[in-house]
Amino acid sequence: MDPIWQILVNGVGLGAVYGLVAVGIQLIIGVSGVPNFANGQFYMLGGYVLFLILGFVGIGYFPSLFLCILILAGIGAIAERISIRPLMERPRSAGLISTLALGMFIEGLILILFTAEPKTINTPYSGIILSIGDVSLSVQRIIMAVGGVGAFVLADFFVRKTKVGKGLRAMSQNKQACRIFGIDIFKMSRIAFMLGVALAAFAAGLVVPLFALSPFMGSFIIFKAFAVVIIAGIGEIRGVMFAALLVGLTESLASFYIDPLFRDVTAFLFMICVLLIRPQGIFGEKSDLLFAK
Amino acid sequence: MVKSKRLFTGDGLVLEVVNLTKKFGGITALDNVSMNVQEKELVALIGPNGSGKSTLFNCISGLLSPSSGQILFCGKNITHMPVHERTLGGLSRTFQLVELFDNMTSMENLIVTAEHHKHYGFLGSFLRTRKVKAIEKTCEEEAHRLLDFLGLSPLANRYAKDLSYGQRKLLQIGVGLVSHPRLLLLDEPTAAVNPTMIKQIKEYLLKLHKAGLTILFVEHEMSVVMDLAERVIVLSRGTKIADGTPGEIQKNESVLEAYLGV
Amino acid sequence: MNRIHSLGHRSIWLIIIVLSFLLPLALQLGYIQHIMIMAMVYIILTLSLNLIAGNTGYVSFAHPAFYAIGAYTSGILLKTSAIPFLGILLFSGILPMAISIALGYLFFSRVRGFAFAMTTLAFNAIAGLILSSVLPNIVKGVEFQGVYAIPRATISIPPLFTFTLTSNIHYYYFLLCITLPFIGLMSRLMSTKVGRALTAIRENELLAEALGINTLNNKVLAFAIGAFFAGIAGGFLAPYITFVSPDLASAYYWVLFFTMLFAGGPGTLIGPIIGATVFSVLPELLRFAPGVSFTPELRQALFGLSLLLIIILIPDGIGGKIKEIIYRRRARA
Repeated sequence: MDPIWQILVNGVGLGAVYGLVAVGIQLIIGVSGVPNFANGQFYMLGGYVLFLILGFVGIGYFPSLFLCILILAGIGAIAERISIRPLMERPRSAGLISTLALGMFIEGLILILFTAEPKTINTPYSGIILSIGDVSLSVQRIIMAVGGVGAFVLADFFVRKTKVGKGLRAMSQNKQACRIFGIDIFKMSRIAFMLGVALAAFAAGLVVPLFALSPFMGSFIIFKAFAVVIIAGIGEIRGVMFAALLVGLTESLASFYIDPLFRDVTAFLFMICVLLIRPQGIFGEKSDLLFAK
Repeated sequence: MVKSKRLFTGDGLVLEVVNLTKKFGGITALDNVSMNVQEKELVALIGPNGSGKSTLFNCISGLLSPSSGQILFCGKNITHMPVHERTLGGLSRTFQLVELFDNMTSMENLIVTAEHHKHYGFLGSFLRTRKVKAIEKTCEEEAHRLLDFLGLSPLANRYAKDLSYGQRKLLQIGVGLVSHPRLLLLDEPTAAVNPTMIKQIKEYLLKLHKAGLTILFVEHEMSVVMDLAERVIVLSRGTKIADGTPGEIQKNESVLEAYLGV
Repeated sequence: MNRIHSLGHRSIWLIIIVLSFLLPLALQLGYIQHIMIMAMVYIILTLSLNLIAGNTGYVSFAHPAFYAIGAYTSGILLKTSAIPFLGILLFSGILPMAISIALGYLFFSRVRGFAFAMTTLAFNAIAGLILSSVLPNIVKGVEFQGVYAIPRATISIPPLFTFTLTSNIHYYYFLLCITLPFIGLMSRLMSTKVGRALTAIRENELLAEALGINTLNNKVLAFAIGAFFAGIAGGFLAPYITFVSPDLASAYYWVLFFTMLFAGGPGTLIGPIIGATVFSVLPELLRFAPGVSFTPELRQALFGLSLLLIIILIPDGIGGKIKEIIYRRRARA
């Protein structure tokens, strides 16, 4: 039996997960200019919150996932107020370092509360295998792939069609103009942050039934997510998703057919190649030298 | 390779823009614009909003690359030259939204610019050779002189961010001057500034012009244009529609139309 | 220009220098001497990172990689060659510097700010992988866990003398003779044309470019000098600890360096020194705190929290705050 289907579904799932975390980062950078290195830890936090909900509140998998997203969005709003808002007007490196610090702090806290021991989460779908012809796929993996892409489609719809979403896009293009037009930049920043964190939490919720839950999963994913953001370039979030899927598929294929080491380096190698050939990213626009304010 | 002899095309043309076009996606910001500036001239560039003045300025100074056309500076083709090289060649500019090094003092803002136009390298600077010390002293003296000229001496050790808006505008002009440029590009030097300061800036510009400096400035304030400029170039919707003395421009119908019409 | 050469300031430095020479004699405990040695190592690392990340404003995740490359170079050469230690030490700095120059010209010309930070991150990860997975297969004496049994350093200037550094005191004074001139060098650097150019780049890079500063060359220079001294620090570490591991290039170290640099005060001279000292000495002291089990996890959480609080409340770090106080006092005068 050729594992190619598993690998492809796995690749799409991985890509979708990277993409959700990356989209969150892209939105936050677009609106507030801050590269949110803590997004990985919010993702990880999502996993632990889901673990707690499933363990202590007896509702099903999907309702738990929903509740988890709400809780994380709330945490995100608080975090934004404390650590992002004061930095909006400061140079980029301040945001980078402070979100990094925030992430370290969250990871340290979780390490103290839950220890480094990985936990497993089981959902009713974990054990079920779907067989079509002579291809067997774990249903949970299918959920990951479908859920991931689905969440992205929703996010894309939100950003393009709703009033708030359009406000977010407007902000990433021209913050000054937004101020003049009466768009509340602080509210936008908070919404972007909450949305980014919610997407990351959802991504974790899809992942942890399949892979173990550990305090370090945030660190593992954040760099790949940033690599995806850079590969895609500044622009529409569709570009980010496309780049993420590309990375996910390549990673899945390469680590199986070439060498497991590729699981770690694919994203980085991709990023370096893109930067050498087309520094603005696949979908980015070549920006002339103008002051970025 | 042509050595950096200061060749002049024609008779003393410091700046020559030939058929410059700049497109942004579907929008044509500049459409085959040609103009020039002669040595020691004081020329104004005007036009209604969206006419392409800033775009033209940005192409000349190197912050934008034109889609087609040529820019010649003192005879040399600088169309695709990196920004810092143009400045080192004698092309200085100021910015509409004042750009300074906010967390450096006025003196430091001037010195950091001045010393990069003097020719000495890292090693000399590090070892503090006698030659370097002399150069540094010269830079400091020049900076002091400029601050005096602009009336900013008491603010020499104040951080640029602590200066008033008008003072920052003046300091910016100082930064443009400290490198002894062959051409000074001023982007709306009197924008958002109170009338007393406008008068002051006009006086400085006249003094500089009398001392032989070539200036090209973008301006919205018509009184400043009419009082200062020897020649006025008018842009509208990306094309040049007039080029003449202030008197001629005032009577030019297409100019009136551009400003008052649709 | 920022030449704080008032007599009071100079004498403070003099006192510090004299004290640092006398300190290990007063505190004969090997453990305390070790803490002081590591504090100096971190001072070198943080001040050299400061050049690119603090003064120029380009955060770099690659510093641990340069540190590790220097350490590995030194360890391997000490084990397998007869090159005099001073030469090895120099080479431990030169190799990472060469790599950084190549990286610098490749990437500074293409990306800025946080995209550049990402490329340094990628480089750091790849370097770590190479040290742990690829190098052991190529070089004899390198295991997957690191390089063991590195011999002690021998300084020899034949025929004058040959001296092998064995005890902590030896290493302390040797490193002191490197650290003090190094601090002087960094201080001097910031009052040169290049130093001011770097500050200008941090303040407003496009303006710096527009004013005639060759930002590419200056950025590469800052990056290269930083890498050189990170390599030297690593080169010293090898014979001192007699063991180096790929962990030196791990995330733990850039977390540590960033905490030291950004809490201490990026862009100043005194800031990184304070940060390096506080965050290398304090964890050691806390180890003895009664009742608190000072696990690595707690350490990480506390580092994260303190860095976060400092960045939000005292944006320019401790050193920056000191500088601001001096500036205010001067402006009033």
